[in-house]
Amino acid sequence: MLEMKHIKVNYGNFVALDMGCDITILEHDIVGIIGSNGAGKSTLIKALTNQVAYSGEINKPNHIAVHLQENNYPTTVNCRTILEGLLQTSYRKNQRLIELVKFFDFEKNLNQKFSQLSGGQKQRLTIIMVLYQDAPLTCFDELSTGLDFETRCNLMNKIKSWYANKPAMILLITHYFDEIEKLANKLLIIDHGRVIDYGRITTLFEKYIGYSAIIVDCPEGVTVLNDYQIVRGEQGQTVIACKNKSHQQQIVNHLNQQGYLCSVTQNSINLIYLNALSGITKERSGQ
Amino acid sequence: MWHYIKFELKNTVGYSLAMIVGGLLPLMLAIGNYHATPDPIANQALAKGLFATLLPMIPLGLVILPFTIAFGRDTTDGVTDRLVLFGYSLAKQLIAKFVSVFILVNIITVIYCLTLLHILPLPNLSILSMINIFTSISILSLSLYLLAFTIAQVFQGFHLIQGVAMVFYFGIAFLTGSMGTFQLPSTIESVMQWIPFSIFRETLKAHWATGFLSDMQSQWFKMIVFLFITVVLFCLAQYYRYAKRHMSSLRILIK
Repeated sequence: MLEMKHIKVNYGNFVALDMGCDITILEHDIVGIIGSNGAGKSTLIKALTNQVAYSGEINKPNHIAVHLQENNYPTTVNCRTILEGLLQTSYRKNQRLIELVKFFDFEKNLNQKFSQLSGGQKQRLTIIMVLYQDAPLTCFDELSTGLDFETRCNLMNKIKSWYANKPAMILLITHYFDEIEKLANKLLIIDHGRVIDYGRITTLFEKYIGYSAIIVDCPEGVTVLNDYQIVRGEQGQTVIACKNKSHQQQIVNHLNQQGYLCSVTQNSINLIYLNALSGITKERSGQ
Repeated sequence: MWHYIKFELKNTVGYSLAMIVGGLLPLMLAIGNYHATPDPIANQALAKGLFATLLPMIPLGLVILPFTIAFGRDTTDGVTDRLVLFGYSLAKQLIAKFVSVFILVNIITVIYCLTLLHILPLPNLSILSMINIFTSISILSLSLYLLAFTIAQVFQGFHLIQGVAMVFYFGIAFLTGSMGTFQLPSTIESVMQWIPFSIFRETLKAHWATGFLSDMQSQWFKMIVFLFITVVLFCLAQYYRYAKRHMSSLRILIK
């Protein structure tokens, strides 16, 4: 279990993180951490791994594996030496490491130096070392930034299958919300160093949107029925919150009759994030 | 720990600067500066002088310049912190780096001795002189290692660390007479005496083939004082790091 109690981090006079609440993360939880640039996401990871001084209390496992935004290694040695040195093992004799290297298709890069690797290969080297540790808590800080769509999808699938049925806690910082939708069961929203909300994705969706949301690719002028609520969505979209399945069906039928193209979602991180930030909640609107 | 040492050994060997400055340069300078004359006694004296003068350049070249620069670069690039996050703590890094440098310095010293004893007209070294060489080189390596780490910890930024490392490398090499002799002001000369390069040279030349420990006290005293000074500097650098971190924690608590 990971407990973070009122963590506060300052960089000089700048308050980088002031959570203002307690967060508890349990085994098997995969927590997506989202927020704009400079919101305090990476600072939270740094506090967890003692890279920055903080006030408050953190109860954490003894072993934490971390993938940072930037992961640099000595450029004088090849990747095999880095793997063997940092994981304290011999590659030839370690079947688990060999399997992991094969899993990430990294065998051909073992004799290359770190500086000779592409962005995706560099990421994979760190991911191999992070996953190999099988730590009770693993933090991924923007692990897919700079990777093309296909590599990103492959990476997510591999991470998902690696952690299937493992009692690990994972913190996943990313700006790609589809990665969270694919991997995470909980969400932590941070803005300007403050925790906006934390909880199960399904619960947060229910709180900020409702049973489901119907997304219509039309900026305005969508008329449905009397009993509906428009929630915040991306620019160029109208997002209609549904109270339950029959309400959803009723609105979809109506939109179809009007000739609108629409899609339905029950776990859109984007909608949770936008509405959590703008403070539009079902409770507040009273509907 | 063995895997860390292996990793650091490969890492240090990978720094071509270290191998050139600490490995090749002393050997090349010793061979290149030797000129045979018809007088065998003068030849032997010249060979002994070159051997003894350039021997301390091995730990100086292998430790001060490449290690300080490499450590400064690793710190600036976040490599040191990245390795810490893999459980390879700073203390473990320091021990593994030192052991690897220690092994390399001794290997290079063996190559240096074997090559020069074979090429130059040098008499065979006594067992005591050989023990003196390897013990002195080891103490110098440890002292210079602590000094290198101190520089890398106190100064901020890769370029500044590189500059300071160069000043120390060339400063020690020139002022101790390892790269030519100069007439220095008496104050500087008396300070330089405590960097025990010159006393080591003189003792080695004087006790080349002897088996007596007498007259070595002065060299050992200066070696130990030099080591003590670098230990103090190292502790001060550690305290400086601790105080810097502690102050930032304190500022958060006050706020």
